[in-house]
Amino acid sequence: MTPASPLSAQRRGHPSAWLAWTAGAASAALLIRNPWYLLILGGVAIAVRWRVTRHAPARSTFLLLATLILTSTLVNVLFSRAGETVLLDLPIGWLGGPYTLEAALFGVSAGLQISAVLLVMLVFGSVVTPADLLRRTPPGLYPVGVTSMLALTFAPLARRSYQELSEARRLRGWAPRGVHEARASVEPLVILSLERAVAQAEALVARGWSASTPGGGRRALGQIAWVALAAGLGLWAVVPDQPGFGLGLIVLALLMLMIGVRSTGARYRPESWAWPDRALFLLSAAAMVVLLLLMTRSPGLLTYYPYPRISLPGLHPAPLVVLALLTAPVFTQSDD
Amino acid sequence: MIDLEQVSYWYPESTTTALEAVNLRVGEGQRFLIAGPSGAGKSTLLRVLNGLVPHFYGGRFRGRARIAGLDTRSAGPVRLAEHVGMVFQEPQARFLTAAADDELAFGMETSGAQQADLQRRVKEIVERLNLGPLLGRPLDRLSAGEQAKVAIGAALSRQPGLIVMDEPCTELDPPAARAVVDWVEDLQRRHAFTLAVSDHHLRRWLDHVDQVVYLRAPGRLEVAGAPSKAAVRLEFEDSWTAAARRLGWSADIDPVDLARGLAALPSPSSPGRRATTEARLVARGLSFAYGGRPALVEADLEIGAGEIVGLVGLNGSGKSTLLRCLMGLNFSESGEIWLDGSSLRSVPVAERARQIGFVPQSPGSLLFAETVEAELAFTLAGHGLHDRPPIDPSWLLQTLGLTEVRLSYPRDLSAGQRQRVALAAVLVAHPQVLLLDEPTLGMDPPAQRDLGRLLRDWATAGTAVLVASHDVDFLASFVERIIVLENGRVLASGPTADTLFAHSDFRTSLQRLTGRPWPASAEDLRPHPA
Repeated sequence: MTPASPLSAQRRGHPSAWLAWTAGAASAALLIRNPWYLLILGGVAIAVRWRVTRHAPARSTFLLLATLILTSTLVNVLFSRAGETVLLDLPIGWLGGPYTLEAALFGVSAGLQISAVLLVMLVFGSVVTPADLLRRTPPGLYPVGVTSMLALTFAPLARRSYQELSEARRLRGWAPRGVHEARASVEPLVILSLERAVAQAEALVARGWSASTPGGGRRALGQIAWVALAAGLGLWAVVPDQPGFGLGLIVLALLMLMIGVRSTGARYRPESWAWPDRALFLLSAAAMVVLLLLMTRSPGLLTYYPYPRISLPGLHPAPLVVLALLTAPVFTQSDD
Repeated sequence: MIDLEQVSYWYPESTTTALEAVNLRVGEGQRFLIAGPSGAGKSTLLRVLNGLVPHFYGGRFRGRARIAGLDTRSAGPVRLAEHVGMVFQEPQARFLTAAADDELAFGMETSGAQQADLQRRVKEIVERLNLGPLLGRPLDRLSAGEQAKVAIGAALSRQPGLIVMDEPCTELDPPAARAVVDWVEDLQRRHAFTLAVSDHHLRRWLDHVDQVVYLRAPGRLEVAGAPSKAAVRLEFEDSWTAAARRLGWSADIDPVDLARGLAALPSPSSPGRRATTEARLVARGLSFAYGGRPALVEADLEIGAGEIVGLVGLNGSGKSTLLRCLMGLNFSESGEIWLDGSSLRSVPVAERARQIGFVPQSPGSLLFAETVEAELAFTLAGHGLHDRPPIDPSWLLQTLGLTEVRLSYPRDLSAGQRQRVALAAVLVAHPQVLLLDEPTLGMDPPAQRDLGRLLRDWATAGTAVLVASHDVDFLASFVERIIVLENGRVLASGPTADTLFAHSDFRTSLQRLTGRPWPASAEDLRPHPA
């Protein structure tokens, strides 16, 4: 008998399907520089997160994103001298020279890109638990699994730690002082968050999780798979005209890794692979395929380069198809 | 089951020994308690038993440790996890899943158990440990006592021969702590595992273990013996031993004789309520809710200058919320707070902190400086007092037993020492009101006594002190009045001994022994002339 999920309201579907969605959405965020698409992608991520958690991002999240965009814009304006639309021209010297609108727009699109990645990772953190990630760690990469778990728990722990540190400073007579406080909190924040992450890693080890789990044949299979993957990528890179060999090795390696992941022992709560999960997986994979095709065939549709003279970024249906496919969780999620 | 031979250990980059030539042999099914002052190496010794030391922590390890016949140097924690289940000091920080039964299953999943075995074992544990009511509830919504139960269940899930517990009751209220101890004893009787537990609260475990091991800093094992004999040989004094010594009776007096002797003592006439000076901190009608769930309901409070008041209540009764509201960290939806007659409504926390010192329950986040001395300097600078400290920082460090570690990195210290550093970091500004949330967590009895005496001295000088604590023996020794909170409401307020006795959950060790409200602690007894 399969135990009833204690968190039915919080079960978001099969983690592997979500990993596929995250891979697609994160790839889109990393490959796209067009501000319109990045804005839409950010909106998609917010909508998806709201659909699965019923929580909109906190005000502090929006503040963080605004700060990132502003910082990126300011840095680019201050240090880039390219572009023809001069907003301000200072005498040559320290930080002198032309300050251009193109540099500002390039900075905005860089900031939007970072924000889109963060919003996608926010969804990821809401739907995939550290334990889900650990259980999916390919054989031979268990230390990476533990590291991934630490990375995944670092952000929420850091947020909690920052609140505690901020309170602690006030308790010791230091009034909140915005940027100054944030700067002074960086080191203790990192230490506190790492201490908490290390506590979880210690618990993992004490509970029997390690690089040697599982042992025997599966571990050997994993090691062979990683060598095959590296060889396949190498072959593809060295002989791009004859990709068959390299791609064949890559596919073989991925198959071996999947076999390893699928056989890493029984689960107390077996995960069902229902139609919404299949749909999410397939639509996310489709988004990834379209994105890769665009990247190889028409990279100009994804990028935005305002230099040398400003032009408004365009909109094309093909990237919009990618973004539309990434809205899949909004429709595949059940209401319970 | 446990065989340690000349085990010495140094943490990475440390020149001082954490454990020094420790020899220990414990048979299968035996239960032993590890006692010792803060920083003596109790947690380190427990981590030797499952191989976390040295495999997870690194450092230098000498000697030989064999657990269930396995040499921990070659076996390592993963292999030892089959034989050793560990319950950490703060279980909530170590949960790896979101639900109780997932947590129970995690260890078995990593061991490669088959699906059918997994389901059967989890069901078995849930039934045997009576964890059914906890299923279906997220772990972070369980009480501290329930979390401890899940952690113990998870440690037992792989049916290890040795269970290691590092202060499992530290954060529990008295009834929950007693329930966990009784539960562990019952489980041990049924499953016959070997038990190693560390706790500063000796009396809690003395009737439930076969052997007591005493670690003296730095990491030297000095006393080991049967509980009845060991308790009186330790430099720690539990309340029974302290009472017997105070009266000039033999320290290893039989408990029945001690109870009879104490009952025969004439009770002092009921202490009249002290002539309170002016009310220093007053709160009326404080309410607060977390996400719509009321945590504090119309709470009233009044603390006079020079008064030490204790705040007791079960886990989740609203103690910490009340202190946070008084400090301004939680904004009370209703009610008003006055300090020396002035409303604090619009006074920000940083300004309030000059007059009201608050040490939260987990003070780890209070510590960010490079040295203990620098922590005190940081507070003084925050209040603009760095060139004219209201009290001598060196004196404060000495009073709190921190002189030797004044140049140490605070986060490298033991839990009890960190607690004292956090206290010092707040006390150095010499606030007129002190709010302390579980200040004795992780503190050994001598350090607790020093803290109690310090609070008395400060109260004598006019400071108002409010101490929220599960440690009723500490409160009975040092506070004058008790406030009882229940479900966010003030249930009672009155003289310490009578109020604690009137609420059976909060009776002290001596009150439980004698069945009488007086004496509530050894401090109530007139010292026998030497």
